[in-house]
Amino acid sequence: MNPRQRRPQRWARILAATILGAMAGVCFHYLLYRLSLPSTPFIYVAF
Amino acid sequence: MSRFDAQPRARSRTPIRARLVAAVIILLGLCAVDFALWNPIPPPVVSLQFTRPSWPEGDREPFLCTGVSGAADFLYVTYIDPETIAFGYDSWGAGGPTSPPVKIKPDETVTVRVRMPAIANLRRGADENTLQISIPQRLDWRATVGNHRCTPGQIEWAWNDIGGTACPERAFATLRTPSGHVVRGVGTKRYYRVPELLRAWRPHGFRVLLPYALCALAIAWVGAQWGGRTRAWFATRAETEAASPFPSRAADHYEAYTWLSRLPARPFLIGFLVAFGGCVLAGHWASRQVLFRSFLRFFQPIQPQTYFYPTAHELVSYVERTVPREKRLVLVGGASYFRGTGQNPSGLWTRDLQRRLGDGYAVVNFAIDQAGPPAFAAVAFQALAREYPHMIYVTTGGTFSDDPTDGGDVYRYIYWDAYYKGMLPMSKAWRERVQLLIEREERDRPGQELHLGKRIDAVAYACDLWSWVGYRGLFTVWADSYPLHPFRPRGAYHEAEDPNMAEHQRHAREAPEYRDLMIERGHGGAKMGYVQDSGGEWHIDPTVRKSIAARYDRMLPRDVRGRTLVVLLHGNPFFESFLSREERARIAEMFDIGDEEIRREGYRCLQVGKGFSADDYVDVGHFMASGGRKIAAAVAADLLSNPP
Repeated sequence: MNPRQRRPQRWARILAATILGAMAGVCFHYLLYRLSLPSTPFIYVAF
Repeated sequence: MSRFDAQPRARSRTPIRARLVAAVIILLGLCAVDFALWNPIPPPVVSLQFTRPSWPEGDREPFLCTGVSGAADFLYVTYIDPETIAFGYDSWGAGGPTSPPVKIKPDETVTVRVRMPAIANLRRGADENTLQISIPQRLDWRATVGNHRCTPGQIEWAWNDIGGTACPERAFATLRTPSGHVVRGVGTKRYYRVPELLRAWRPHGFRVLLPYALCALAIAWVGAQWGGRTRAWFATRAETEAASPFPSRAADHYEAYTWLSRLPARPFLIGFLVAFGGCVLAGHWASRQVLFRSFLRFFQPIQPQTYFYPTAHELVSYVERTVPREKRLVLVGGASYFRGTGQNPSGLWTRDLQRRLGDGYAVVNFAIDQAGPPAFAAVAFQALAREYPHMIYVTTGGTFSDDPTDGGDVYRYIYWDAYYKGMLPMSKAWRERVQLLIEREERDRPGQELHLGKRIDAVAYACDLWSWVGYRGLFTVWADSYPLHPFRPRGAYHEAEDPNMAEHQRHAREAPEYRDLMIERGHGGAKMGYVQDSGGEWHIDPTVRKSIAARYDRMLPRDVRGRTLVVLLHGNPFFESFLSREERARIAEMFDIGDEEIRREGYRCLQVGKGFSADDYVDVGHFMASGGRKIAAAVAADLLSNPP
C-alpha cells in the first residue's frame, strides 16, 4: 500500500480511537452517577 | 495434504523443574486459602479496652455477640445516662441479667475483662455457664446464664449481624486489644494483628503441610500431562485450519480484532479525558440551572421512591433563581404531613399559606415523604440561610422525633452531597460533631461507599448532570412504577387531581385492619414518655425532658434554630376517641412537654391541630384540604406575629 492510501486510514483510526475514548469517558461519568443509586429504593406505603 | 488426512499428534513434555515450581505455587496457594479460612480459638478471658462514645446514637450497643440466628448470645452495653452504663446479656430464647451500673464518662477508656460462656466453651471439653465481667476498681460481676455453642468464626466484636432485638447492628463505642489494635467485625481473627495470627497459625500449618504438599505435587503432575496434550491438540488444529481451503469464521474475528488492536492509544486517552472533563463541566452548569418546571411540591416521579434523587444544588438553585433575596423566604420541610398527602395540588395548604402571607413572602414547599426535621429540606435551609437573611424554615416535628444530623438513612445522601461541595456553613463546634458522625458512618461498608461516592461527586458532579438529563431528556434507571414508559423524562409528569379523597377518608375510618392498627399505635403512643409504677399508676419518665433536648440538640446547628419553626401536629380525633380519657391526657401532656423542651433548645415551636375536626383529616395524621387551610392559618398567624 502506498503512503497516499495509508494516510486516510491513519486518520480514520485516530478519529475512531478518539470517538471510542469519548464514549468511554461519558460512560464512566454516567457510571459514577449509577453507582451512587441504591440497589433498592425505600418503600413508602401511603395511606 | 488435506485436512481429512490423519495426522500424528505432536507430543511435548513439561520439564520437571517447571512442574516443581508449579507445585510450590499451588502449595502456597493452598496454605493461603487455609489461613484465610482458619479462625483461632480466642482465650477464655478476653481483655478489651472500651472507649465510651461521646455521642451515642441509641441506648444500647453490641459489645460481643456469638452464634447464629436462633442460637446466639448477646453481650451489650446500655447507656443509662451520660455518665453511667451497664452490661446486659441476652441468650436467645432465655434472656439474661443486667449488671450493676458503672460510672464511665464520655470518651473515657476502661479495660474490660470478659469471660463469656460461648467463648470459653470453644476449648475442648469445656462446659461453662458463668458470665464474668470485671473493670478494675469499678465492677466485678458474675452471673449464671444460658448459652449456645458457637464456632470461632461466629464471634462478632461491637457488631451484630446475627439479628435479634437485643441490640442494634453497630456500636459507636471503640473496642481495642491491650496492644491498641481496634477490634470490630466478625470472626476471631479481628482480635489479632496479622503477625500474631501467623504465629498462632504456624502449628496448624505444620500439621497440614504434608497433605497439602502431596496434593500440590499431584495437581502439578497431572496438570502438566493434560497441559501437554491440550497444547498438542491445538497445535494440530491450527495446522489443519491453515491448510484448509475453507477458512473459519474465526479468521474474520481475528481480522476485526487486529484492526481494533491497531487503534492508537493516545487519541483514545485524549478522547476519554476531554469527554469526561466535558461531563464534569456540564454537571457544574446543570447544578446552577432551574431544574424543576412548574414546581409545587415533590411527588412520586421526582422522589427517591422511584430512583429520582434530587441533589442539593438542584434544590438550592431552584430557590436562588426563583425567589428574590429581598423577599421573606418561607421554606417548608418535614414529612408527608406538610408535603400535603391527602390534598390535591389545587388545594395544597402552602398555596393558602402564600395567599395569607402576601407578596412580601415566598413560600417554597420542599417537604418530602418520611423526612424528619433535619432531613432533605433542612439541607437547602442551611445552605441558603446566609443568602436569605429573612428566611424561616417551617417543618413538622414530634416530641419523640429521633433523626440524626444528616437526616437518616433515606435522605442522608443529600446532606453529604451538600457537605462535600462546601455548601453548609458551620461553626467549629458543629463541624467537630459532623466529623465524628463521618467517622462513625465510615465504620461499615454502606457508610464508606456513601462518603467515598459523595467525595468523588464533589469533583465529578455526576449526580447533578445525570439527574438533570433524567428530568429533562431521558430517564435511564428502571423503576417498577413506570413499566410502560421507563425512559420518559421525569419532568414530563404532572401531578393529577385525585377525585377520591373522600373515599380515602372513609376507607381509613372503616377498614378494620387500618383502624385497629392505628388504635393500637395510639395506645402505645400514650405510654411514650411515661413509666408505670407497681401500683399501675403512670408517671412522667424523669429522663424524657433530657432525651427530647438531646435529640433536638443534634438535629440542627444552634445558629439556625431561631429561624426554625417546629410544628407539632395533633392527631385525628376520630382515632383518639378510641383511647381512654387518661390516655388522651397523657398524649396532650407530652405534646406540651415537647413544646417546652424544643423551645428551650432554641427553636420556635407551634402546636397545631387541637380543636380540628375528624373531617379535617384523611387518615390518622394527614390532612384534607380543609385541615390544610387551618394549618396555613395557624402558621401564617405565627409568622406574621413574629416575622423572620
